[in-house]
Amino acid sequence: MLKLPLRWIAAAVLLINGFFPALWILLTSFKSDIELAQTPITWLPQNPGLSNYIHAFSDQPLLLFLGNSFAVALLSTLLTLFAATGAAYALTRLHLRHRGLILTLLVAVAMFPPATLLVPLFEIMRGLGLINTYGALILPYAVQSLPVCTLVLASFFQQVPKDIENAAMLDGCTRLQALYRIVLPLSAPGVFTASILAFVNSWDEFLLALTLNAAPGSRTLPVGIMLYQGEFTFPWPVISAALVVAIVPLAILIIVFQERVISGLTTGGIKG
Amino acid sequence: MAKLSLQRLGKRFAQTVILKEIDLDIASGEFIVLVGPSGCGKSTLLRILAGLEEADEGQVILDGRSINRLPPRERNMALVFQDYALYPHKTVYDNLAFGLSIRGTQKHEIQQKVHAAADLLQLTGLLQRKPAALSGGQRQRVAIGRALVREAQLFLFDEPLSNLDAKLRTEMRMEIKRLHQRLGKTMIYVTHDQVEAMTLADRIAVINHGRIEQLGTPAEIYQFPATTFVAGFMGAPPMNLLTLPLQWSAGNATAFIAGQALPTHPLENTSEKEITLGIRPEHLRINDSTLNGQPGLLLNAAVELVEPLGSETIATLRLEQPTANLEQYTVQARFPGNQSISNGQNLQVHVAYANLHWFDSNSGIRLTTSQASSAEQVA
Ligand SMILES: Nc1ncnc2c1ncn2[C@@H]1O[C@H](COP(=O)(O)OP(=O)(O)OP(=O)(O)O)[C@@H](O)[C@H]1O
Ligand SMILES: [Mg+2]
Repeated sequence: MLKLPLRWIAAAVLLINGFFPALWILLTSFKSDIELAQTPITWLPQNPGLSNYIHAFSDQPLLLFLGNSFAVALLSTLLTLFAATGAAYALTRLHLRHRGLILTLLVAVAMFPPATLLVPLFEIMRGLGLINTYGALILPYAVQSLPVCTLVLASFFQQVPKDIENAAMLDGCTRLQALYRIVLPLSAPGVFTASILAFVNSWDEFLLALTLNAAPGSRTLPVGIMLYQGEFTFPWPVISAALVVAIVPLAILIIVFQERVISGLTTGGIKG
Repeated sequence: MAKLSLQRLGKRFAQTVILKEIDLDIASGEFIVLVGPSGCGKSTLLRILAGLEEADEGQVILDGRSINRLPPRERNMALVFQDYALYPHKTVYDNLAFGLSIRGTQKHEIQQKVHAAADLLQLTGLLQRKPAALSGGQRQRVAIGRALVREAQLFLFDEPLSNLDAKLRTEMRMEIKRLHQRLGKTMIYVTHDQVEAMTLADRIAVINHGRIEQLGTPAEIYQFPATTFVAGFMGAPPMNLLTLPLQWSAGNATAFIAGQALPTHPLENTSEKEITLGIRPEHLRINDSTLNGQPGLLLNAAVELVEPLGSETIATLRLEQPTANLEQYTVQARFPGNQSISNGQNLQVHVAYANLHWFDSNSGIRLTTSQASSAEQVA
């Protein structure tokens, strides 16, 4: 009996911690500069209007940033998924020696602080002539998401009974066909989870985006949003509006995909 | 054409030997049934044939060509998995159609074949369901169907009827037999069901501890079991096996049962002290007129347990020994169902000498008689 309220309190803390900043940004995006500076603070906007949103789109090319972010996130996600699928399959299905070591290394790579990679990455991208292009971000983002996506996919591949894959190979599939036609569809929740992780990872990233790709034409949202602040001004309501614009597509994406992350996809295939 | 030859196949998992020196020649179009206790390696053998496991030793020769290194899809074999292994994300229809479509069969042809298989296996109403929405028996039939739709040259069945009810099992057994007669394809079939083994097989291979203990036609296996293991494995209830003491005089051995001397099979090893006698339950008769004047053994017995099965009655009998210090023997007998038998009743049972089986007590190997020698292949 004592456990129940405690659980509710924990849930409430998590909810507030997660939602409050987002809610505050949403509310701020409908307030004016003046209202924001008032004390005592107001909770709900007094004259809610869309003027901040109009400014967000006219002061800076927000649509362009959105498009850039979307392209970079999508391409890096696809690249990650492609590589992670192969890696996860090899780790779960081929009898690799040093499998544990490879997994540990994978996790270790994911632990690397990105800041330490900044200078070498810059040099590499300059060498490749990719500075200020999508490519300068797509590659490192894909690499960054690779370990966690591989681990997620590997854990889902492991759940697919081996005999289902064997059946496909007896039915005439090559290993690769069995992977793409049987194992991947059965791991769909894992594929969605990995996609969301990789996509959000790219969408949010600021440090590399600022260093490797700050050109006006190809810059992504996190870098773009920084430009709203002037030398002496900090237009919170407009920035909030731009942030809302940045968050909404992501939220929609996650909600849509969440629907598809259903479990129990592999039940029914194997006896017992 | 699918003539299969297994040559000294061996398989280990880690240190454990699972299959040992498996030699088996299978003619094209032959129906081979593999039987043996749980864990003896039947499924492993099928998986080696299908290319899902690699043999550690030996060769699998298909039509004169070693296929050890051929990937499963190039072997053109169909396997009904013991655990079904259906595609859970596909409908029954697509489960059946997958193998055809991946091999590039025309759509209308796929449709026709899938519907034919569904019809045969009584799955027509279920074609749009996913496996999760099927009963165990329905899933098992989908697994059979998936193997049957493809025109494989060799069919491997791993206990394909184990989960069906008695009526459906009988029907499906007949369908498989018909199918074999119609297609004439080589089939290898694992089962625990004696009736399936006896009715389907051209030849039965009895496997024990990873070795083929006996290979022969159902009649040979039943009438001339090569070892006490085979004798005890085939037949329900199994053959009664009694260990009898031997007495030697002038190089001739005599066995004793219930105080009677029994002429035994000529023994080579003159140091044996015991011999194993085998009697099929149906060879114990109450009415000695059934002996038809054949020389036989007459035993006094008390009925301990009666199990009426309708057409027949299984009775457990305790044989009377002349003195109490001798070993007690109980045997199972199978009497016609119309014979009235009750607990505690005292009976006289007869068995013709011709129906006695003799085995070496130590090795369990049958003491060969000339008429049976062709049937035996002792591991
Ligand atoms: N992948 C594996 N790793 C280790 N041991 C295995 C593996 N697969 C099977 N075995 C062992 O090999 C032996 C034979 O297994 P197999 O499945 O061939 O038996 P079976 O004769 O088909 O039994 P059943 O009648 O119960 O299906 C068993 O002792 C089993 O534990
Ligand atoms: Mg098995």
